[in-house]
Amino acid sequence: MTIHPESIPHLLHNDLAYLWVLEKQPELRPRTWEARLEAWQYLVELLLIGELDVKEEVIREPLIAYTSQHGIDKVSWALVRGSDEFVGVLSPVVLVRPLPDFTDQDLAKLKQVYEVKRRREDIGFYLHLAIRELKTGQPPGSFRTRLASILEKEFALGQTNRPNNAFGARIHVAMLRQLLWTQRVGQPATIDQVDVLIRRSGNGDRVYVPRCKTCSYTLTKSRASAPISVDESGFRVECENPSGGHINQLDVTDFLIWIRPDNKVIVWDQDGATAIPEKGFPPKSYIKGIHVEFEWNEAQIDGEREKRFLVLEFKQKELIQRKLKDIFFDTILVPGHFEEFRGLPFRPEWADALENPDQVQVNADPVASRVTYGNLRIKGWPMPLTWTYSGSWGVVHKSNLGVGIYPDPNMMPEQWRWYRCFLHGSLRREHRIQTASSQTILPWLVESVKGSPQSLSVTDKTGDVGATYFIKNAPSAFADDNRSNFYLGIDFGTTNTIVYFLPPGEDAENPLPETNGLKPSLFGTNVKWLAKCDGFTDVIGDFLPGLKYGEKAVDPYIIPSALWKKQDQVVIRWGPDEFESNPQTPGTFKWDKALGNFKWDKEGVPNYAYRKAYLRELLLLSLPLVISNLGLHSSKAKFHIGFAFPLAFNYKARRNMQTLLDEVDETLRTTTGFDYESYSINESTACVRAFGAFNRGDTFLVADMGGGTMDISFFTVGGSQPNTIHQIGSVQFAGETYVRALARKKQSTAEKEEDLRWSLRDAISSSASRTEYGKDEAARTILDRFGALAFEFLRTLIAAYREFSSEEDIHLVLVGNGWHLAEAFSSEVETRGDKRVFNEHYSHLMAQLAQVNLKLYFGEPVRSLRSSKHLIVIGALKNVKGQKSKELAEEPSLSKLPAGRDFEFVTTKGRVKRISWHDLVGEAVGLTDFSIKELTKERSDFFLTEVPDFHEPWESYLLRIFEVADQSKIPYPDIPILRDNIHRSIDGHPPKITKGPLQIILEQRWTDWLIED
Amino acid sequence: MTDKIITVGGTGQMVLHYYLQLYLLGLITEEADLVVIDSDDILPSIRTMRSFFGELQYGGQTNESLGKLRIPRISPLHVRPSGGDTALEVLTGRKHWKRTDTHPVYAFFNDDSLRQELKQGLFARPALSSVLTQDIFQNQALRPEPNSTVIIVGAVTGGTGGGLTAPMLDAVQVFIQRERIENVKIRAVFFGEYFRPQEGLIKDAIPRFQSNQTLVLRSFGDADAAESLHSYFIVGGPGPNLDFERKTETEKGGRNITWPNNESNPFWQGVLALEHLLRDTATEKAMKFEDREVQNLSTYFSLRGAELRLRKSLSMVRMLNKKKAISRLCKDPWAKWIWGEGPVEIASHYWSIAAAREGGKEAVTDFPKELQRAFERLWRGEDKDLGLGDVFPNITQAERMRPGKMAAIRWPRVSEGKWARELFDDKKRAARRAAAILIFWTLREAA
Repeated sequence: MTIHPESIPHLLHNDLAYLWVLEKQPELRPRTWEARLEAWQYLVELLLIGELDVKEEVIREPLIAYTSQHGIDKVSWALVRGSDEFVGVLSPVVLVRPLPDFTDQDLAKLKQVYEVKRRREDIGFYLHLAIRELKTGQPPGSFRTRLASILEKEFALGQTNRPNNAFGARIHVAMLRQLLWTQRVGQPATIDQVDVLIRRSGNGDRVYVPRCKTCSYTLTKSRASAPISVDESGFRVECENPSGGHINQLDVTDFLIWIRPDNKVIVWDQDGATAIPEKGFPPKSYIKGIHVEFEWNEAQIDGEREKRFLVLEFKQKELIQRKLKDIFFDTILVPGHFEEFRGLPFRPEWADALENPDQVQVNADPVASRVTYGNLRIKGWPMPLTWTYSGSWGVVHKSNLGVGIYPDPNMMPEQWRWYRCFLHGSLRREHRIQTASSQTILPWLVESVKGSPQSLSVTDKTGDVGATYFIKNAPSAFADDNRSNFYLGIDFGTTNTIVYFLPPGEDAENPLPETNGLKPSLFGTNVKWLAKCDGFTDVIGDFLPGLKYGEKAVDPYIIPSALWKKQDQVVIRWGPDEFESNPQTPGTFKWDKALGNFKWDKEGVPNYAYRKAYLRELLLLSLPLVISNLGLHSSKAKFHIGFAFPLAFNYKARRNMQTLLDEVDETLRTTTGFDYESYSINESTACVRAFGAFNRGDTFLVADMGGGTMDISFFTVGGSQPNTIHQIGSVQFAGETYVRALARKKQSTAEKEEDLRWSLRDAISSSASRTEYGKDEAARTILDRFGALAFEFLRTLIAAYREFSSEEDIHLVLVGNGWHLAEAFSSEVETRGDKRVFNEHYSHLMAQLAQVNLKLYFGEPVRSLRSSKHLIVIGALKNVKGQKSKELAEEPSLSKLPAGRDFEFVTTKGRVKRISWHDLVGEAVGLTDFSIKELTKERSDFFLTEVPDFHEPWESYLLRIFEVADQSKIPYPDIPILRDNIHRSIDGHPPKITKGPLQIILEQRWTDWLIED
Repeated sequence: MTDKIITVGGTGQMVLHYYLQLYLLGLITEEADLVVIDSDDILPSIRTMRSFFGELQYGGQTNESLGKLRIPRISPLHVRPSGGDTALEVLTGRKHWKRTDTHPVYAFFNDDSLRQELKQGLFARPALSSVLTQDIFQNQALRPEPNSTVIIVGAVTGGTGGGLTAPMLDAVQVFIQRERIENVKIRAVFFGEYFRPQEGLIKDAIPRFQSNQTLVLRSFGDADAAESLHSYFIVGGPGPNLDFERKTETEKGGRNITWPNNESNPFWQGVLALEHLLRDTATEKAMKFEDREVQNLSTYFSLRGAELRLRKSLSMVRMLNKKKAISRLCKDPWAKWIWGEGPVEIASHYWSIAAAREGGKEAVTDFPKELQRAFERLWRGEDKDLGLGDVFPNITQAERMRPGKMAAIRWPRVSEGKWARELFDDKKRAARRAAAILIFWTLREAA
């Protein structure tokens, strides 16, 4: 029998027809309806599994006049998801049905869609929910109940367990309540609304639903329930099983929450996650003040409408929502060798989010330009992640970029707290480095004084391209055993510095550079390289000397006493800036300035902070190598550090220096965990000590000319007895005097002069000065004057000594790099060698002096040293091991040098104190009969023509150098100036004249004269 | 209380056609209001009888005749939808609609139904008629009276009957509930497949009628209002009655339609069912819907008896006409003794009404002639309009009737009731109403 839907006298005739046919036993159904029923089944399944879009269309005049009587004011079309073709319509009777003009072709299309879209794992669940919803509150025989029965009958429900990825949305389906033709006034509408839960794709991943561990009852609450308080240990929830509740301890990680050690709580947003945890993700969370709200989709909790919320409360915490991708760099930066890359993709501020840095699998494939991370465990994220970067958008490889940390944390004891993380290579200044709790020295160089950073991040300037390295800390090789003592000697020079150490068990009798010197080029061996790059070995990361540092220099042990300054940060200036010297290299970075001569305070320009910074830098850079060389394995070591200082330091300068050393000790103590004690000895005495047992009974005049001072030690070796010191002192006439003079001669402006000074220093240390200035007339003239003045000063010392002593042999020892300016600015070195040029230069001066029993000395210990500067540091080291003098802490009482010129003080009371040129003045010579006032406020006269006798050929030589005809034309300072300087040099009780007239003349007038035409 | 008969569609009209004849012949005496619902025109016979009943009105109420007799009121409800020639046009407001475009109407109806030409009926599609005609559902004609019986008559196989039978049941129920009308019994006479469809009129008529029959009856199973259906009788079905053929053209002509040949005639069965359901006041309403079907009808008259009554009544009227008896009722001083006091008194009463309306007796001296003329016109009709005599079948065998039969009629008394002035504009109107009364009572009781 044919059944025509339009036989039913009702607007919903098609719907009723489906109902009535479906209510019949299958064998009694009209055959002509088979296709339609099949289509209906497809539509029901597709609707419930979310593969149909529902498009509502409002019914307008005139049709509305006919439908409104039935409570129908719109049509809900059903379309295959993503298409615009109507395949059915929501039905107030049978949920959804084909359109009235349904054909077999429509069935074929629908079947095709169904075959592709069907989800057997879902349909049972959503059908089960739909049936339950249809039945809820309905009497037997109602249309909804009947439809529910049909659904139960027509679909073999089978497994109705909640699928892992259950996620639904309710759609409103109009359902026929009564079969009427006329709307009743005052009675319920003929059409009900039923909200059917259907599957929704898109966010349909597996969802975590907290369940009671005892009874599996869901732990979700109604919206009105009180928030659940959470602390670091998690939180407890009682299930609401009517038969009895159970307490459950839940982990916030399952809720994508990470309670940071600070007062922040990170609530992860699951957007962008590439994999789903075994338990599933919780629903999207919402932060409201201190509350995190979770609302489960009804489908995820078996259609439950009310108890599908959890509100977690974090008291006194700041809640922040973040997407997982926010913690990763947009693009991974691969510094150095690609295949060795082990950086992780975390942005620096999120480095602490990684739970297992040691277990992350990094696969860097240079061929595919791909970096894949496996087993990333993020705090608050319930499963390990895999994260991949590939292609030019995902991976940026910078082979000329290195990343390191100094010193290598694995070589340092646990208490060591000072570390520097840095970038290296030609591209370093295009990038940034960052660690937690570190101070930025330069954007690519940071310093931590709180121990080894757990991670460091390298980024480009945008911060979106980068990599983070996690630093593995090996078990400490340092035992907490008995205290050991270790010894260091430091010659902190004006231009250069040298560090010596004493290996355990060795005495300080004959230290040598090879065994005791600290070679700065080896500092870099203590770098832990996280990414290595090729080239650029001169300076590592703008603060460490490269491995080839000094290899061309005469003395590879030299450490420049120079600093680079950028804003308020300084690092040792190991050489000229590589970028400034090579304009082709990229980068706009420029140091603010280079700092030198900070060993001394200039008038109005205290350099205390720079000295302190330098010494701190020097020691912190040196100690790792010292520890390495010493084979130190005790965390209780004590370092005894001996310093040498110039006698030219006045009392105030010495006190300052002592304070500085104390502060450096304390700084080192806190940053390295070792104990420190500093000792001090003047450079002249150090030099004497360095000679040790050599040449017993011989008299030496050691003139140690460094960068800032020429330190004089005039003594006779005592053998088993202490050496006898005849003169000792320090004048500020040294290498820097020459450099400044030449720079001033060459450049007209102060700025250019400063630049040239650094250029000259660099040229000297790299031995380039002889080629650049070897034939420069000004350089040669100034050098000749410089040498002559220095020798004139030495001649006066010797003459003064001979006034009271026999004509015994005097060995003149020219030590210090200041003397080596002779070959540094000689073009003849190329052909004749530096030693020969040096010897010939000073032999010539010795010949001009023509002093009887005065010889240049080249024997031990000078012979064994790379440069004579080592004498001072050896002396300082010996002091630490032996006498342990702390001269800086003592009242200055050492220096005594000849006055060089006669002068006298005449008091108002008629008392006269005349000092002849050969009389010694200095800290060691107190004027007990006079007060400072009498010496400085009353009359004083100077007799500059009273000088040690000149002998030929020195007199002629000197006059020629001065370019004057006789002695009276030799330039001298104005008397008032000289007087003023003498007055200012008077200090102490009793008063001491710490500088004689000749020293003042040399340091001032003659220094100025060096460049006079 | 006045019962109500609601006929739906052509079948309903045909049942009413016979039912009213039997009423006029006095075989059916129940007072009832009649509602005729159809998409087609009302049958001429029913229209004629409705007009005739109108002439019977005497008092202020439309069904108040002389002597306070309640005469049937026939309310035709024409359900042809307006607003277009096709269902599509009516429902969308547009003559044409591209099938490729969507319109909500296509969620409810198939294209074939929507493109039906409405002027030719609803083509056996109950769904269309139930939707397109719903504006009549609240028509006051459907309102039942307390303590009354409402009977719905219609064929569930047809477009109109199938489409509106259930909605009518629902509509009556709405009145009952809304106005709290008490003690109304709703009954129905359903016509299933009771005739052999005419070839070519409706495509696939038999399966479609079968479908209609099945699904319309099935709709009663779900309709809320079905609960209020007290009892019903089903004429015909299941399966087509190949022995009975409807002659729709004849039906629509309406002139002298023959009576059934036998008692099993579906229309006759329908009339009998109507009479049964109207008279049955004792049967309790069954709980189950299917148990409410009346299986056996009580017969209050037989077809043969009715035919005899028909011949006698018609013969009497013919005789009155032939003898110009009506005019003589006024003029003949012996008329009382020949025709009895009743008809003379009635004629005299209406003459005096005419005089009153025309300004005095002098103005209505020709009233007897007017009365005779009106009598003839009512019976024989004017121009193309049927006369009441045309409603009945032609009788080939006249009965011999004596004038004394007229005296035996229980004529209504003119002292009862009060004539409504507006019904009597002039002497002609008075004459027509007087003639109608005379014909009515003659047909009803002269046999």
